[in-house]
Amino acid sequence: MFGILALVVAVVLVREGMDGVVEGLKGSWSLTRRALPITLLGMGLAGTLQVLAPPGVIGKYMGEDSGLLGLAIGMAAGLITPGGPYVMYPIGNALMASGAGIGPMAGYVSTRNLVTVNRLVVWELPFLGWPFTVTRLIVSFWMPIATVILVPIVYRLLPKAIRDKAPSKEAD
Amino acid sequence: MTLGVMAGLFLTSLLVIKWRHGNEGVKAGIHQTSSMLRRIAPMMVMGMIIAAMASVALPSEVINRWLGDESGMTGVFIGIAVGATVPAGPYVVIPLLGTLMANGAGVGPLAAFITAWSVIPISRSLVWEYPFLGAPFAISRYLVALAFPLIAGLLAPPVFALFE
Repeated sequence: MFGILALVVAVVLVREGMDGVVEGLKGSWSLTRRALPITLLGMGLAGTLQVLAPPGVIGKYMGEDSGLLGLAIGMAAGLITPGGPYVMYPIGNALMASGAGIGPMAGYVSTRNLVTVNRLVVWELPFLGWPFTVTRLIVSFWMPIATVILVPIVYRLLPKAIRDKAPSKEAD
Repeated sequence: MTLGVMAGLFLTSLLVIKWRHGNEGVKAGIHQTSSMLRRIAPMMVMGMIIAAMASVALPSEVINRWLGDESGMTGVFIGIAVGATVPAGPYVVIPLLGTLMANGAGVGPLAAFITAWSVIPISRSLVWEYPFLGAPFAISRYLVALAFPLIAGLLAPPVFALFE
């Protein structure tokens, strides 16, 4: 990220000089002021949710044989998981370790990546407006469904050498 | 409005924790939040600066030409390529998309960008998904999602037109 930052600042300096940099910094401040309160609340909620619904417990209901219930739990968990990759992947790892199956995991990751509530409310709606946000939801709502159906099929088609690299599950 | 709802949810969750887990639970929640905050705050600040600087650095003509409504399939593919490679969180990408939108980028390329960034991010898949969820899961999911950004980029303009 330092690299990207240095690059854009350098481009602004070359093209617009110091005035451009000052203008950019002013813009950054107004963006930050707009996003700060909701981001802080979102992170507070992320912390409390992890205490209320520990992933190690939830994962037991997302087993390979859990059927539609497991898929629904996985997708619901994806919808409400806030924070970035440093939150969702450790949670996903804990879910898998406690027995979550491939289908429910695919549901978790895809709803988290595509339609997660936190990102919609904190980022997309304020910055991109509702017509675009609703459009994006309409063109992507089917993706998590296609994902939970197709990922287990592709998973079984993978060569055994690759499948053997799956993280092992905790023995109860 | 949104702020009120979020504040309500946060307070409710704190009360439920206090009731079910006592002060220990509240402390654990606060600890989770503060460690997250420490990791994210510097990235957030940098993200905001990047997004705002990019709006100064990228003139509208350039955005219009490569990502505008008239850019067609080229714009959609540029959106996919940039979305899949940009190694950044929502605090960079969404404000950046807002900047692009305000400067003439079309709905198709933007939808392709955000979808590619969501489902086929190269660096996030390598750095996070593969180590935490394992190679077989990460590979199967990536393969299944490959076509999603293109489909989103093609479907978005006609859907968006319904709201105008």
